[in-house]
Amino acid sequence: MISFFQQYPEYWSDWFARLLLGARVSAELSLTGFALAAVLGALLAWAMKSPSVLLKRLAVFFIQGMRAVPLLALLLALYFTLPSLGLTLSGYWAGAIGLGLQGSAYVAEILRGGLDSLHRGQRESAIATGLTPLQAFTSVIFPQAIRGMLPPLLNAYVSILKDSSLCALIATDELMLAARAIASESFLPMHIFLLVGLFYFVIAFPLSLLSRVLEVRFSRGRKTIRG
Amino acid sequence: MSSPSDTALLRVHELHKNYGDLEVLKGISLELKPGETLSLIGPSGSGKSTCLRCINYLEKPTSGEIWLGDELIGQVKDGKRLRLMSDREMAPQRREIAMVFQLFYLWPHLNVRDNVALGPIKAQGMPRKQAYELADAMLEKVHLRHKAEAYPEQLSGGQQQRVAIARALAQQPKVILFDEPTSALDPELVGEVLAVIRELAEEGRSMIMVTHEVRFARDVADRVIFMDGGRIVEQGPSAQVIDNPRHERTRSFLGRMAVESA
Amino acid sequence: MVNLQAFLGLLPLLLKGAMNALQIALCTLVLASAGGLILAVLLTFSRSRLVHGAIACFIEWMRNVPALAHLFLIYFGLSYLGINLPAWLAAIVGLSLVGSAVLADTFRAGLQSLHVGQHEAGQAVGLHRLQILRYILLPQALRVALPAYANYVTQLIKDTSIASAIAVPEIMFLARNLVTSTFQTSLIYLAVMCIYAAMILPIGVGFIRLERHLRAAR
Repeated sequence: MISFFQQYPEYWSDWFARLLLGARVSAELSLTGFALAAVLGALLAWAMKSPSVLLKRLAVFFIQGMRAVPLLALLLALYFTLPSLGLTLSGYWAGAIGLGLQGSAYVAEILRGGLDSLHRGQRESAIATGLTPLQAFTSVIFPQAIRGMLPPLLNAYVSILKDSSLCALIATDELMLAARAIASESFLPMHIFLLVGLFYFVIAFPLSLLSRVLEVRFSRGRKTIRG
Repeated sequence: MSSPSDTALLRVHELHKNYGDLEVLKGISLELKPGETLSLIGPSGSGKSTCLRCINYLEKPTSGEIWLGDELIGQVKDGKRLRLMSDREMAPQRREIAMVFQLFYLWPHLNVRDNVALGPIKAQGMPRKQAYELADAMLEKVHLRHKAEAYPEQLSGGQQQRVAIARALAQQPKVILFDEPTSALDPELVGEVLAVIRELAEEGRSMIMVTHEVRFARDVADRVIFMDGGRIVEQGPSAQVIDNPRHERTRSFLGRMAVESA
Repeated sequence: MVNLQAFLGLLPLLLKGAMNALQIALCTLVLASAGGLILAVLLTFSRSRLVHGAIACFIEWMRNVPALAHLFLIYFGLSYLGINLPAWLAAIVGLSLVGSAVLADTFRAGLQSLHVGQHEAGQAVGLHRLQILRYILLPQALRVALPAYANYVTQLIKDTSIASAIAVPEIMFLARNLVTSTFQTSLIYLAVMCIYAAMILPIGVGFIRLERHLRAAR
């Protein structure tokens, strides 16, 4: 056991620098993916709320499809098949778009659930006061809905961060690929993969914790709200 | 009975509302004069709440017209034909017609003062400082000035409804609609809300009130309209309709209410 | 554009991959359900802080680290320690550990949703603790947990694709081999997505039926 850990100091500076570089790419990649997921998810949620049956069906179809396909299949398809259609994406962008597409299905459900959780009287009273629908949304609906949406959105980001590790399989230079490279050079896979796990954990765990804290706090407030 | 007059503030003309095959309103026409308090009574399912919600187009009428002064509500000329306004187009008109809901619908994320001031700030573009002064003045009217910093969840139901009334007043509306303002309240809290409404009536505000409180309608309203089955059955000065109803259906409804409240 | 003959030629191999994926998923589901249930029961009824702390650490580690890292750790890492698991077994072990953590949270939420009165009523009619758990608490808790459980099952089937990274011959792995030998890239990935959808969509429908059935049975 002791000898296991004695390996770390020897390689520490080399490993740490390379993993940190990979972690930075992973963070950027996951944030880009999450931003895409947020924008597309908002559009999908809006489409599901729209009076147009066609738009609603398309949104539902897209969401169902995204939930039925593994991210890895999506990533490989984006990375390997788009070039034959004349569109070549780098591993990074194929990864970000894949994460965004799949994430958008989850984000859309979160947004819709958050908006549906409000009583329709909240919107009615806002427009009855003379607010425009946009004002009603920004001053009354959204500030309330975001409380319920924030914890699951944080969880969605954590999922995207973890899923971004799959981008290693389409040659994106992120954290997991850095770990694999080190592992195959050093022949110390156990050490490396424990360490890389720790890297992910250090980013993901505080966010998961925050999500739980917010959920408890907001649900406490929610119970006493009337009307 | 009610001939169109130039003095009417609000005119409802031949209002129809269908939900699919179900006809909820079968041609309602009524008028509200400036400074008048009008009470709509009737059994549940008679269409009185629907009628009220049609007046500010929270419910879209199937046909009919609502006039506020010489302004047609909820519809706009598009070429030669009339079409429904969008909620965005309607915002300025809804400012003129305030509404107090049965379930208050205060905004739980805002404190009491912000609940009252949001409309003036957003819909009227009033500076925040001025809107807060207005809000405090309106809260004074409903005797809740001291609760300005509180959040809705910290208030009793009666206090919440009084805040909702202050919110309606802050719109500086021409008409206030009350949709069964006391029917969600515990009995001991009804009085404080009715007292506030009575003060508003005495100030000469123009109001239409859907209510179950027949005795209150008799004391406070200038006129009472009795609705049943989507039609106006009887209307007139409140004392006359409630004490000496002419129509059989009015009589049996009022009889039932008297038994229940006894 | 889509060559039907080529498509049909690819299909048998991909379907074989699908069968392998389903076998891995099924083994994982059994192990993860058992593991999750045991952890959830321990979390609900144990008063030992050590037990709580250890389980919490396990759950957090499993849930905040990518599944791919777990698979690499078990497949490559353990072989460094002299434990050589075949790839398919490493995949099952890794996915089961992750699944236990996910389902432990799911089942615990189900158990916690029950009113204490349920437990007390069980005691009052003279049942001992295991009987209360078996006959009163679990049947209700599992019903509450059903939608989340359904989500887990669909996620699990998708996650079997990650096993391709350690050369388990499931759909994704076979598909990638096919791509390098046939260059029918778009066709193959399209077929892969259709196969996954064909496995996953019926599960969603099945769980909705089951939920409706259970609600009706009440």
